Amino acid sequence: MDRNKEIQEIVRKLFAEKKIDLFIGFKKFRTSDISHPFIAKSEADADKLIFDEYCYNNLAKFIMSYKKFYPKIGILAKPCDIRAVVVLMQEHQFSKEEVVVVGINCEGMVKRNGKEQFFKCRICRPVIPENVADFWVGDKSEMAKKEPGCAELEEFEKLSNEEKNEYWEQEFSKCIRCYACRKVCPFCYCEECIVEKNQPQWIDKSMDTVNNRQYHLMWIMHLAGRCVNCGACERACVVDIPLGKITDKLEKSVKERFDYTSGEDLNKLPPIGLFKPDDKENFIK
Amino acid sequence: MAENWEPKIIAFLCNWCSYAGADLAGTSRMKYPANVRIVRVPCSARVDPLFITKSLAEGYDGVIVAGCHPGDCHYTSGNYHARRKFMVLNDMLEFTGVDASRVHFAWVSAAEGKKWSEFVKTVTDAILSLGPVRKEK
Repeated sequence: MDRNKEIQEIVRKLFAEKKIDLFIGFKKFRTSDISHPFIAKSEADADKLIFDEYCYNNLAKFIMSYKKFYPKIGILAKPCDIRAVVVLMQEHQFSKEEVVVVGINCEGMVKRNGKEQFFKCRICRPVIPENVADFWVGDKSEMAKKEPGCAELEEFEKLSNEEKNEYWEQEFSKCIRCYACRKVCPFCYCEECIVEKNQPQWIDKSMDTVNNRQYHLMWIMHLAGRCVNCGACERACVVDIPLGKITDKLEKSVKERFDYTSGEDLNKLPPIGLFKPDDKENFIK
Repeated sequence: MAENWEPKIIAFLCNWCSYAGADLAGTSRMKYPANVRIVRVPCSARVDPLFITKSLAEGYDGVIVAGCHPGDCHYTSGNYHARRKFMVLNDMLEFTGVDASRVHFAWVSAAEGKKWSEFVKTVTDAILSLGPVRKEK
């Protein structure tokens, strides 16, 4: 069956059986190279649902916005989105019963101009958490055949401190503090972000390179052990800061230090809340 | 760099071990560089990475965080949690080009006044060779 028709069929059935109040998916927008996140609220809305290579948004973000008002939510989730859903469940934001996950095969998303695949998708190693998806569109075993990519951080890490500093000074000087990265991240759901806090003001809001660096460092520290490296932040950045490099490094750091990948296993606990008496480090005197 | 530049170093010391250790260094009249400004926290786990990044943003040339030895935390496991946070923070600071020699961590017990004074000497020397964190000043 055509992939779009399969999705529409599943969602129509879920609405008919009253298993969901709301379904988060994608629909086409004005031109053929724009796919928009779309909230379907009825069987009739389900006809608009599609999935193609322009569906690069991380839909897990929308669950947090709607779950207060809609007790049962359905979501169309690529493997990276499923991992985001798992992390949110680990943080007890909602239980397995409140969300219906429709998994779907993902061949990687492309940019709107020229159809170039996103770097994050090229290096994606599609880890699909067990027992999370209630439905699957496409042949799940196909996903296991994808070659895992390497984030290619070694070249960058070999640079000297001055070179790295200069690189990031230049990148962070571009930041206009629009907070688009925060807006699209599924794990930035704090009612009041630390950046908004004025008394005391921990992170200055002005677009100074020093403050920008502090913002980005804190934002990534708040994602330690949670970030699934989906690349939504990098795609959202209006001034093309390579945030994907930072999330790649975070993923590598957590993997090396704590042998943990975010969102892989619902039964595991996030590493920053735990400890081992024999954690190994070489920089504490 | 201005003439006679003295590094400003901020130290977050846990109340039960490292602060007491620094106090012991003081009562024993041990000599060590006076560049350190101490902030007492109840436990090293209280030290949010935010304190460290804020200190660097505010212009402190160096940051020290010290706590009880693993296994000796007054609150049983605070320093273990702190250690995990600092492991990730250290990686990310290094990755974004903040010199690893600007932020130092140590386990200092209440009896280790000498270790504290030597540690501050090492850190101050390291920061002196790095120069001020705000290049314009």
